[in-house]
Amino acid sequence: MSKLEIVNLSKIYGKGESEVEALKGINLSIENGKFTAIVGPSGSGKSTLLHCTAGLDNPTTGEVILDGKNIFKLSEEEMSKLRRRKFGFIFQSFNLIPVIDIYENITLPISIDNKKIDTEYISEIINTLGLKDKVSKFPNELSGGQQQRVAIARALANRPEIIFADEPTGNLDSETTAEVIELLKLSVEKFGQTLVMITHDENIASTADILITIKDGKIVKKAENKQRKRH
Amino acid sequence: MLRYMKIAWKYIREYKKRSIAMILSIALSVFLVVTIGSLAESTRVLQVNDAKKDSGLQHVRYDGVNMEQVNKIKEYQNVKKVANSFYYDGWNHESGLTVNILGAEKNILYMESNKMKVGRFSTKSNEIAVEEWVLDRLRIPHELNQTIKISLAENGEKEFKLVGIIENNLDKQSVGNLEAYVAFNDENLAGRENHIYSFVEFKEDLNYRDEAKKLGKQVGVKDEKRIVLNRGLLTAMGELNAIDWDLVKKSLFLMVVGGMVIYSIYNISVLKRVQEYGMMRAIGSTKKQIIYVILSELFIVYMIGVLLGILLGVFFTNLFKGSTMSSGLFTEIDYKLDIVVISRFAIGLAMLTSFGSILLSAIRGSILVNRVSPVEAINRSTQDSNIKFKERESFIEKVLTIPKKVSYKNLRRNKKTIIFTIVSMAVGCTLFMVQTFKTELWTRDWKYRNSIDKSQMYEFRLNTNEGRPMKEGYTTEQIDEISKLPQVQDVSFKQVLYSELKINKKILNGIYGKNYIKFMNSENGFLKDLGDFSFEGVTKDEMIIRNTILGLSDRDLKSLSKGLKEGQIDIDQMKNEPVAVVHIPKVNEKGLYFDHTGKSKSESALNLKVGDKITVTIPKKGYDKGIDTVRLLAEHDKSQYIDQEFTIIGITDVLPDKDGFHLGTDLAPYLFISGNMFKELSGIDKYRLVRVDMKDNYTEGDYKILKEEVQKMSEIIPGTLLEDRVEYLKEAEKSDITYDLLKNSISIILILISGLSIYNNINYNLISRIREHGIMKAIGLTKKQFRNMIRFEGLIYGIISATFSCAIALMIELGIFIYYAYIFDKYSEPVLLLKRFFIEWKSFLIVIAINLSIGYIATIGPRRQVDKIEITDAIRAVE
Repeated sequence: MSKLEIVNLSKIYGKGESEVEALKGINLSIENGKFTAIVGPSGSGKSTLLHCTAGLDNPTTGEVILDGKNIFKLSEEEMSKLRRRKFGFIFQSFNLIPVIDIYENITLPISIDNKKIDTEYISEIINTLGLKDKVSKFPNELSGGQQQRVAIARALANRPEIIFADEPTGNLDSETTAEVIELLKLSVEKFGQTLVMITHDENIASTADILITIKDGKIVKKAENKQRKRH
Repeated sequence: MLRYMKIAWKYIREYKKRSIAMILSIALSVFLVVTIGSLAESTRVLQVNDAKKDSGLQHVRYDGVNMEQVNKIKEYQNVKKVANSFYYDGWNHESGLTVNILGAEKNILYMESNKMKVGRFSTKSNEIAVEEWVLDRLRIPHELNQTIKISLAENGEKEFKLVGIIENNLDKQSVGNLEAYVAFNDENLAGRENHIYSFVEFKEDLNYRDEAKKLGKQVGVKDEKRIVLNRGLLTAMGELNAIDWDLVKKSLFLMVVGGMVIYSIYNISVLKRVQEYGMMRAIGSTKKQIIYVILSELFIVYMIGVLLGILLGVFFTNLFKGSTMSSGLFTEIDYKLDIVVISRFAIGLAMLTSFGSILLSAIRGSILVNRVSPVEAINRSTQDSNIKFKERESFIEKVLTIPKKVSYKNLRRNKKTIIFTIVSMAVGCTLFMVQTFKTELWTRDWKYRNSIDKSQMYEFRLNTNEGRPMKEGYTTEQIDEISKLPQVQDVSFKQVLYSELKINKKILNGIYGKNYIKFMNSENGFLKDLGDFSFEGVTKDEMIIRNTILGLSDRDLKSLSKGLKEGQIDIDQMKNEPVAVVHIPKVNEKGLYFDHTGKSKSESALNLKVGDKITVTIPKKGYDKGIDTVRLLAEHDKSQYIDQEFTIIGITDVLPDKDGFHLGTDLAPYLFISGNMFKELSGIDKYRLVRVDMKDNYTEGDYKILKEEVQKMSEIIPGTLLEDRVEYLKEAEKSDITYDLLKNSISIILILISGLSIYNNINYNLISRIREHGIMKAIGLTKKQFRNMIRFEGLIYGIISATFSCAIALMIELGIFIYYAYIFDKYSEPVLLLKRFFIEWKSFLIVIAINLSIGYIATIGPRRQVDKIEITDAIRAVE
């Protein structure tokens, strides 16, 4: 399992007077197989950190090392491959493709990679996430919670090493939130993946293995939750 | 209002690309209507001018008036110009040609749209002015003040001084009508005082038909036959003043296409800024105020577009004016379109129709603003989110990769857009394809027709005068000599014999046949001076009607065989047996050969079919003296005629050639027989009709040489009519090129407008799905995969649009073909001889290429735009 190292990561938006330093030399190591939660107030740089770490955005300076290589040195093609093979993403607003059905949405990263779908594994994910009777439906036929479950299934489909979740419960009610988080954690543990999640929810954060607090583009606290229960 | 205008102007500047696209769309439509309208009006002005050249500037001619009446005409208040002339005498030239000498006032040149080349018009009794080509034909040097001895038909020999050379009148030249002018004075007029022809041009904007009658009454011309209206000119002028419905149709058509483009662009624009409208509503703007902003914006766009379009139209139309144009389509001839007018009607129409199309967008914008609440607008929840999908996958979906499937499904999702795009694209493409097909259809038919008969293509034609004895004509040696000239491409020659046909009255085709005979015997039918058209036969059932026999060479028989409607030609049989091919005039129920409305059904005047026997009766003698033949034909006397029976082996609708003189009317039936049989029947072995086709790409030098040779040939038989159609054909070709250029320009501009629409729609579709693209890229879609996906979508648009255009065009083309090949024929002479459908592949390939290109090109912009956007921004984008 690879280890993700964040070295001196900075991100500056804009120029001159409108310049904003979103990340100020962040150094962090994401541990394998653990659930890392990133918390902080709005505008603290959480999302920027997550996007840069996941290769969705380019930092102004700094490196993200995976398997001994700085991912920003990769070509666009290699970066795309990295994202679809090693990373999984869950967004706040589900971000499903509306014109294809649930099964196709779940298997999208595999289809894009032109790989054969491991139907047994996908069925397992679908069953775990309780989507069995929804696979032939379309995203707009599902509720928010169901759509986010599909997003989780999609993130897991390609057996990624790390799953990045950007406030995955931000658009859900509290009951659905609890359900989705439970499922997410269950899946990650079941399939042995690393989870990096941004959240505002203290309850969710309290269940993480590692809690990173970020403020004004800097990590202000890193705490390990040794009491966290494993399923 | 100014406030709204200011806000609207800001919007226009803010959404530059869209504003430019809308302005361009309006400008293109206006430009097209102004250009087409102006060129069409110019063409009609040209037609009026042609009519003036053909039949003169006069609105009416009063025949047989005297000087007292002439003076009254000149004094009439609504008269603009008057030119008087009279027939002075005939000039019997030593070449055998007869020149009509007219006593005329100088204004006669004005009336003929002609002018002096050098010298002046005749003013004294012994002065004469002649057209340049007439001097050439008579081989008189172009020297002013020379004395010409003229042998007058009625007044013996007289000397005249050549005081002026007049410019060539192309029409007279093309039919070989020789004329010369002497002075209009008392001395010349003596004895002809009551035989003046008075040509009258009225002032503008009058009802000329009424004026002509009124003036006739005032000067005491009671006989209506002596009031000769210039129908050609009046018809052309009537068309000029009438509403150009063709242009109106085109404008409405453009309004639909242009309107669709503007509508879709503006629709997208409004949807994009609906959030801003919501903000404005939230902070207190009324719906009315926002609608005013929308209207102001569209008004500004409209004004800029219209002005730009008019300027472009005027500029483009003026490019035609006096400029030399050439087209590689049919010829390399360069020419000038001298008369170009800017059509006010077209400008008005363009403004009105483009206003119509912009109004559509204004209504759409207003409805949207009216319907959406501020909160909805801010949240942009204006689009329908209830997307319905089919659960079952189509075959195409099954074989597509996921990225392409996403594209394909998105296309299916945006049905309205795709229909809009395809229809607007198909309009231009279909018009282009149909236009190309029609051009090719007529070109093929033209070629086919010419392979049967080159009557429309020859440059020179020699027609022995009917007054010359029938046995006279050109020998094969003489024809061979001219055929061998390097300037000559082809020579066709025919023998001519005026004859009569003995028919049983039963073969008259009902009312068509009966009225045909009636019409031919009327004053408007066959020339009365030459006797009746039909005679009673020996028995009650028999009837004798005039006809013409043409003796054809093997070469011409071979050509004729292609144009047979029924039967077939066996050349050997035709050479040795009394068999013939017939051409029977087609007439309508009134017995008329031509119906300008084109609405009445036509049928053959006689019921004849292959295998029928037909009896031709010809004068026994009289072939040594031409005049005797005419007299013999004028009154049928059975004792002087011999009969010959022919079996019909073929029927043709094509009349390959006819005698240009009175006796050779194409209103009568024709019999085509072999040269052998012709000789056997009449004893004549010479050819009275010779057509010379000059080689293509001839030079001015070639023309001069051949003209001289042909003239020499014409002089062998005195009085031979020589038609020189070189200039005339050039003019006809120019008109064809203008027509094609115009039609192709229309299609190209329509494709351009449609292209804008397709580009805009694809662009919007892709841009509006930026988030979707962001997600796909986030989960690992590579740049290459993304590019392929977008390209695929653009190409799918292109493919569907091309398929649709091709299918529609093919159906229309088939319809056009069926109409001209099988339906239109019933109403007139066959317009389409080559009844063979074809697919004009070139235009199909061009349209496919254009559609695919536009589909592809339309993806470049959005692709780059999406490429530029960071994945994180794309994901955050609101649809």
